[in-house]
Amino acid sequence: MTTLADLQEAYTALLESHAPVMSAGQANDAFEVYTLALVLRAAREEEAAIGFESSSGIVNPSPLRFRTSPGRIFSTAADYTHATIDFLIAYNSKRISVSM
Amino acid sequence: MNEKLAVLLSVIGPRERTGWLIDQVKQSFAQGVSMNVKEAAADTAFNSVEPAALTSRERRKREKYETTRPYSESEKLELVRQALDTIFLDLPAMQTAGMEQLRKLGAHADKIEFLAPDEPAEEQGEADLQYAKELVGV
Repeated sequence: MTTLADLQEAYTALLESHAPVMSAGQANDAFEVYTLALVLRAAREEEAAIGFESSSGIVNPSPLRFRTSPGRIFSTAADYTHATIDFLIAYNSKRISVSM
Repeated sequence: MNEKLAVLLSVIGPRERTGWLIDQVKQSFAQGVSMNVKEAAADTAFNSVEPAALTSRERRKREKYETTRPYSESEKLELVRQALDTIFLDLPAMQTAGMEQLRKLGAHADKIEFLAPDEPAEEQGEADLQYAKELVGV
């Protein structure tokens, strides 16, 4: 017969040791990355050029470093990553780039 | 609390990696299930906690508001099951999908790191003001 100790052991081995996050904050971070990807994909579908850049100016940095909570976008305290969204639009018969 | 739920919470609750999940589930238990007053009024248990002296006009007026009722034992069990599903199935799928999507959009990074923000939120207001002043040359 399965005992409580068996159940605890199985939970530890099969689930707890593989928990993808250790706090609600980490779960939120994962959701925010997913949301960012959706926003960028939507922008790409509207023909924007998507890029990634760090606060020190490194283009397409690795790893991508994001904040765990809101901060100042111009901060150089750490080499945080942000995405760039560029739209080329026609204005007065010229094509101009709008960056977000 | 029914025995199955008590055992489940005792297995998952006091854990380093998943204890937070049960804390959140318990918070949801405490908040109850959200429902409108009209719906709740059909439940005799709700009538017993309503002030007796309400006029019918006041009762009708209350019907547009939201209230909560306690979770049933089976709903609590279902909430724990959903929370485990979300953390062990949905979240890893979301992490993978997010990373794959960023790569498809041109990211070369092989991983994502999360760092604490540069300053606590309460200090940011002053820093933002200072930055704005610098921008406009004040």
